Amino acid sequence: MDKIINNELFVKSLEIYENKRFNEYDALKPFTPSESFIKKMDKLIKSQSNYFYKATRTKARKVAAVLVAAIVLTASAMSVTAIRESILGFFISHTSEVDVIEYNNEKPESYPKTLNEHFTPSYIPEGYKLEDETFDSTSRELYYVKGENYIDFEQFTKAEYSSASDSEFSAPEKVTDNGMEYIMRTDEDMVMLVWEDKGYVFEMTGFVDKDEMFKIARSVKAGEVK
Amino acid sequence: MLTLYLSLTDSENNKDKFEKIYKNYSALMLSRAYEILRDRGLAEDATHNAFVRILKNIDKLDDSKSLKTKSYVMIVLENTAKTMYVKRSRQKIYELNESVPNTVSVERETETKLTAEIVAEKIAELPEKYRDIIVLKFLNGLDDGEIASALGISRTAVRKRLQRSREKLRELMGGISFG
Repeated sequence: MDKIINNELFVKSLEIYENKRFNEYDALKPFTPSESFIKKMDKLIKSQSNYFYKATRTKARKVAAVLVAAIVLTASAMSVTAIRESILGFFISHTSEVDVIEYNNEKPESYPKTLNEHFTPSYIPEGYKLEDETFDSTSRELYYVKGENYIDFEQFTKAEYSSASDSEFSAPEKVTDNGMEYIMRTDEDMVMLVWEDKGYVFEMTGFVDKDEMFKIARSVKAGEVK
Repeated sequence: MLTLYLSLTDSENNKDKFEKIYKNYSALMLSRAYEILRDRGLAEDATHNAFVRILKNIDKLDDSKSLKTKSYVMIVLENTAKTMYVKRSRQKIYELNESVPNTVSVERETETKLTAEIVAEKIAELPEKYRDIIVLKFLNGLDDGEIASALGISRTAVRKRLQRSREKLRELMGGISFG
């Protein structure tokens, strides 16, 4: 059985690490800001009240969405040429650190603007328990946990969907299972599926094998909005 | 009426806090952003963008001079600057830390007890993105959504990084876990 570090010692070690890191910043050269930067910051300080709101899952996604860059996705998934490629109606932008997937909203008037139904997997692998459920009018997340492993199931309106994840995942591939088309990416022991169905986008990431992920995806059913 | 007064007071406190953070850290943020981006205009843009992100989570920050606040501010700044850098270039980002040798030596043959200094040394060996996650989660006490907002990534990515950071740190510490 693993030994576990005392929490107090761990936090102290983080403090030691951060203090060392900041000591190294003494070597940084001083920077004199321009007049325009000072004015811009002055304006930001004066208009602060426009920004005061709690970070929500939706807002975190919107922040993530600004990472979208015009990049091509090649078979090797490592190119940074300025073209964005579409797979199954999704745009995927790739950098060396982060990938961003968005839905290609060419006809936004034809999609639900809010979640009119809440979709939920009716099958979850043994041992996983629902730990957290959060939702708003345009996105919903179910977070299942088993020890240190998890399965994260999310539903979005098409306009809302934007997902930024580490580029350690494999190049996205199109996969068909039971008549449904998915974008699938894998990384060591994780599988990510993204798909579009009934006017919504779904993303699921989990520490189970592909077969189990597809089994979960096939079990997703519509239910009433809570 | 009381609710409105309290929300205004809260707002005033946050405004005051933000102004103090700007006064205490803007010089350091600009220098660090310039170190990463090597361009004055971009360094200022990155710093401004970082302040916008910090503003969105200002109510989570405590005393502006605390180590927690400094950690949070610098992690947001560095991630903002690096994202900007990556979007413009394929070159590896210059890391100030890489040029500074690790001055903590470990007397392995005599060390029998796990100390905070040794754990700190192991944390320093982690890839930067895993270190940032651990600092934000365990030193700053942020939840997954707040970390996602600070770093500009999804909650799924936050959880994945946390998972990986646990595995890596456990490896480095010979099977001992944390958190």
